[in-house]
Amino acid sequence: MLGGAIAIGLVHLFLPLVLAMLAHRRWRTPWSLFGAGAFAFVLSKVVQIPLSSALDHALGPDALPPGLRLAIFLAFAPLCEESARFLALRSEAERMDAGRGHRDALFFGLGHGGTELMILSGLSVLNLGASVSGMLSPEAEHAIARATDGPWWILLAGPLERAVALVCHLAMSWLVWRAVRENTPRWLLASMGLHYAFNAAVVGTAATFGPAASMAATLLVSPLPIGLVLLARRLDPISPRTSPASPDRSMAISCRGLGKSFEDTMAVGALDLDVARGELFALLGPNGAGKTTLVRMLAGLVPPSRGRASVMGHELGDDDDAIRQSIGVLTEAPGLYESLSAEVNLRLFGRLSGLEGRPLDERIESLLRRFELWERRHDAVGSFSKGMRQKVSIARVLVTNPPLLFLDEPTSGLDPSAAEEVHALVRALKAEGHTIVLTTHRLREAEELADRVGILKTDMLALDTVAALRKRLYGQRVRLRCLAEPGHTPEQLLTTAREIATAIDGIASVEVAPAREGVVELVVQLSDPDEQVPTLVRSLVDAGLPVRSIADVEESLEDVYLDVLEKSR
Amino acid sequence: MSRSPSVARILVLLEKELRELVTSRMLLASVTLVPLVMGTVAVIIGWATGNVETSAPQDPQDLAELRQIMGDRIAHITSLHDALQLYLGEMGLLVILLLPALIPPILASQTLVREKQSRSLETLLVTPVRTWEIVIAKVLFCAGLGVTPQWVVSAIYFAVIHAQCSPVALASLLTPGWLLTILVASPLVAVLGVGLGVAVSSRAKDAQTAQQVSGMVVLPIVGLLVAQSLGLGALDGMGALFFVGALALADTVVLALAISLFERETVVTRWK
Repeated sequence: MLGGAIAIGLVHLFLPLVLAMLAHRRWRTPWSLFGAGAFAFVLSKVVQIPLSSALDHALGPDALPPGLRLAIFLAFAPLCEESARFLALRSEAERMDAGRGHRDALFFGLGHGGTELMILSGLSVLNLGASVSGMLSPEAEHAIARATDGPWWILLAGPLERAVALVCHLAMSWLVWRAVRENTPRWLLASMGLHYAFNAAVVGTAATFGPAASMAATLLVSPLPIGLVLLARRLDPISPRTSPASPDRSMAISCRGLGKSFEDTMAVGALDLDVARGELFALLGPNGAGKTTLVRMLAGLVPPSRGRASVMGHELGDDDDAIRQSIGVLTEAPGLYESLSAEVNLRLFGRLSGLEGRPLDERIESLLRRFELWERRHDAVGSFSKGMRQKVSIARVLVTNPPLLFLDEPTSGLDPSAAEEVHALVRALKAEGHTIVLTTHRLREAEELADRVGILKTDMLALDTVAALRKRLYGQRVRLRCLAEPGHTPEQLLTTAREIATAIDGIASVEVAPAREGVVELVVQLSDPDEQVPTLVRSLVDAGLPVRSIADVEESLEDVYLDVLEKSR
Repeated sequence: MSRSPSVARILVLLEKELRELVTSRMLLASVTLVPLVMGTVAVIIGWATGNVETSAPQDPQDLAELRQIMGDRIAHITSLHDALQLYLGEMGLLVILLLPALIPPILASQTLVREKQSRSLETLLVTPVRTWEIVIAKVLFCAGLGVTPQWVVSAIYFAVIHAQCSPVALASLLTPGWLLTILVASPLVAVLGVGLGVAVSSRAKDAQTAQQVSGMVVLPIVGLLVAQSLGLGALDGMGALFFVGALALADTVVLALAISLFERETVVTRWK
């Protein structure tokens, strides 16, 4: 028995680990990893029997007292099995930044843990069925018990034990799945606890004290799956070692190293982003930059591959239901039920968010009146113009009056007057205190509306107010127009102006436009305008280029955007 | 007593499905034409069953041959006429059994296609509704629209049989096995079809694939029809119980699969 326990432990601990390592190196497709996990489990079982017999033979069958042998048997195998899964999972956590570790761990874990639990659950079902229908003779049951070795035999004890075994194994299966999916080993700890409890209570008592004690132990262990799950939910997740810093929950949105990969494509890198409550933040970027993916992650629609985030104080991934209660998302497509009326559409989405009765009626009426759709509230949305449908979509987002709004291309395809109506609405929503994340390709729209902008192209290339970005990119730029005295050729004027400007300390760059009709235009980038502008003007006048006008240069957001993207190449 | 949020949301989703059904001629046609045709066929079978003629009503040789096909179910029947009525009556019931296997998968595929085209699922998924609630609402709606007409057609069919056939044949048709099949197995068949439709739709790139795969749920019923007509098997009490048990197990697996495959990420990133 001692040899058997050692064999079980070694086989169950090392075999899956070695196979997991080999599988990850050689095969990277999900189903091959799933197969490797399943194979690791089956091989463990196949190797375990001859190895335990050999060790028993070598150490002698009576090396330990029976009680201790049983305890080792019951405690050692689950410990090793669960540890193997735990270690495989932790090693995968290191690979999270590669964006594939999560998926690899999921498939290997499902293959390994899932196969064991499927087999055990399947056996439980078969045994339960056999017990109920009396299909198996006692001799057949004993033959199976001897052949299966290990604790499986106890599943043949009686209908109640078999039913509990089934529930326990299904619960363990679910716990392993949850652990691997969320990369939170606390679920594995719960699975391990359940594994122990089941073995000790059902297997141990039946083996030691007989069927009556087994029945009592079964009843005792029955509520364990529910209890352990509830307990596991209360524990803090054990984060992977590469865990990023905690998000700032006082912010409307706070991301730390948040990213998403699809297969081998990285859609969003590892973003650090804070959006304050009440802020209007514009998210800009070319097509395929990851804007929609970022919004979907923050809305809890797509799980991130790495990093953490909080939305309206709720941790992403832990409390997605609460997040969805506090946000409104205007998707790129209107996403309305076109055969239903505007009013029914709004009522449907309001009721799905828990709004009912008079408050909902009043809200729908006020929104439809605000968007001048009240007269057509009974018409099918499919009969509306694009602008009207967009208004209904925005009304849908606002029906529950969420504090945080994601507006994905709200003016896409709208004519200028309809777009201006949307702009006015966005300003009004901000004035009402809503936090707004605006995704748009219309840079003037972002410049006019947003407090801050972020330019995304997988990573956040730039993030600040438009003025700050402008200053950071171009410094303080001033345009000077000088009148040229007669007798100078245009080339002489240009050379003179450039020489004067570059001679002054702190002027980072000088652009001189060709002289036209006796006028020279200089655009200079200054580090200290208060000191440098008078010096520059004096020098130009002394050189025979009297200054006619001075003005600050303000690049548009479009210039900023294009330059930021250009620099990222 | 106040409803739980999940129940309330499922009821809202069911109401939405019904409202969409009422406004869509295509969907309405799917759920009314098929039962009308099948119901008419069943009534004709029922009427024909009542008018079956036997040239030699008491021929023991014919009765023995029929017993070989129908087995112990007609052990208590001494008249060839009654045995033939029962045989035809069972065929009619098997035709009615096709209803819940035909309508729900079609309905599920069509409603899912509409949702895909209008991109309405994404807007639904950003509400507090849970994915399993969407799947359950879809299953209840589609299965309900397959089972309700079947029960109505079954009631009409039994009324016709009652009016046309002998009391012996009627009593042999109204067995616990058949009642279990109609009242329990049929909803399970419907749920299986919708569950398969949803599961396949989550992965399939087009609606036709989903419709074809989920439509395969009709095959066991057709198999049952062929087996029973050839005397290879029969839906007696134990058979019905086994059928129900197998269906319940298949439903559990398929529904769990459908719910796990119907993930928010899949819907928003793959359903184009």
